[in-house]
Amino acid sequence: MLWPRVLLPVAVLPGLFAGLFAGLFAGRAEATVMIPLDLRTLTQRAELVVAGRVSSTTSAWTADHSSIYTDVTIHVDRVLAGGATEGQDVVVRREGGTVDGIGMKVYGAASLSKDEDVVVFLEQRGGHRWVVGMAQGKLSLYKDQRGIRRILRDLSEVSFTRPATVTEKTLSTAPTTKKPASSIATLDELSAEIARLTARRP
Amino acid sequence: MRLIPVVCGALLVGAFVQDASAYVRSRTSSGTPTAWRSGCVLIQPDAGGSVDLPAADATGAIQRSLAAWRTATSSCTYLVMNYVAPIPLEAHLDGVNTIKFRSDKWCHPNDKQLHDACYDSIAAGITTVFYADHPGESDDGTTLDTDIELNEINFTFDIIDSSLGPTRSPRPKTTIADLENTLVHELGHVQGLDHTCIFADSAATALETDETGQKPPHCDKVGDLPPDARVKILSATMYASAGPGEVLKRTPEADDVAGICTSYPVAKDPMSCEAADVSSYTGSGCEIGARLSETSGLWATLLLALGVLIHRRRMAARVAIPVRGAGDRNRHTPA
Repeated sequence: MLWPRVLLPVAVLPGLFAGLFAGLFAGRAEATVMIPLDLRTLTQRAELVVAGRVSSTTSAWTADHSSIYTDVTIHVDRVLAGGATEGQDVVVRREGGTVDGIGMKVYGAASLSKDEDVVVFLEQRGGHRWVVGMAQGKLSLYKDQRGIRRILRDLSEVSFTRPATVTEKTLSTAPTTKKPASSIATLDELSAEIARLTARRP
Repeated sequence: MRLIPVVCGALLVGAFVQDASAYVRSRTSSGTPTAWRSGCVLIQPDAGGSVDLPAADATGAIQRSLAAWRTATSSCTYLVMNYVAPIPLEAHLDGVNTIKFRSDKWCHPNDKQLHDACYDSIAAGITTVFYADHPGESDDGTTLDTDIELNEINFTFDIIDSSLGPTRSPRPKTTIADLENTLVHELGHVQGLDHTCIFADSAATALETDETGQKPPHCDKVGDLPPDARVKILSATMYASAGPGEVLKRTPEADDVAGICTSYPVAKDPMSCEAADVSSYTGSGCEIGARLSETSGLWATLLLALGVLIHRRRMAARVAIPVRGAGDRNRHTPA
């Protein structure tokens, strides 16, 4: 799977970063159609954002026995956006899985395993819920020593982007795109940011 | 004579393994790397072609993409991907490794159970791999089938001039994408390479390691790595993202080459070119077998014979031509 470059940090100082991004590609017509999957975009595309634990996964052949899909059940313990309730089971479909000793993998697809604690951004496609942006729409959760649920992904940084003409030399000498520490490190902070973003929805 | 390339190949692979590089191999549920067992992989486009590119342009790009891997890896791997002329094909488990442009809808093929399950719009191309997932068995990790699907709903494919840029304007609401740039990346997946960084943890990614035995870094933390490691991950053809109009991935980088040559070292050449026996793995071999025999039985036989012939000729050429040094092997022309 090959996807457009990813931007993640727009949740922090959105105007500044959006400006930097626009400036970076100023004059390149194609930049206007680039698809940045930052937190804002993930939230905008999602009809449902929930935190919960993967309670089961069921893989099956398609009816024509030519592909494998897996239905993942997530027991919701917190609704960050959209119409769901705590305690509800949400079923998410993903490409691939293993059945009858045959594995199928779609590179780049979100991987959800039993007993994982996750936040997922979900959208409806073709009669099923799918993770938005393939693997990008899934955030892993863990509890720190104080029992606070934290997000494993650092939402403060832009994934390193490189102009199409960049060389290895410039890559190695270019400053990193590291940004100030994110204000979104915990599930509570993520929830608040998503609430702020969804409040701005038209 | 036959020993010379084998020994040289083994030495070259050894040199690769000692390098701190970033490639990541795809693995089964138990952690076994997925790989082809045959010495060749036949790649066959669907006859439907592209809506953006004339057939000759698309064919040329596919063949150049295959040649890019062949050129970069020929001195240290036995695996070769060969082009086969297009016929009408679908992208699913049928033993035919298909390249299919999807221009009517960016969806999995129709299935009454799936109701037009569609892919995410952000993907210019998607590669699906089927493999034997038999923990503890000798065939665990055997690749059975791979298919590449190309997204002509959200992307306009072009053969971008590396000096002048795109040769066409993207269709409305689409992003321009270089076909070779996309295909060379996807063909890396076909050979069993995964992305050089991961987006989220899971039980599956917990099994993933790079060649140094380390867990691949998160894509959003690559900027924190030392410059050398950062360059390897970001400049690799198997890095997960590409900018609009990017052509950097047209040429496999040293790290990508190391991944292939470690997976398929010359010293372990099976000296065979056989299609994976998909029907023996499926619970309903009759259906798959019937489809194969109806649509491509004769073709499969002919193509297999062609593959064996090409593989043998290549083996002969490898004996006759001295193996290039590591410097030559790693020399790539920047796109």
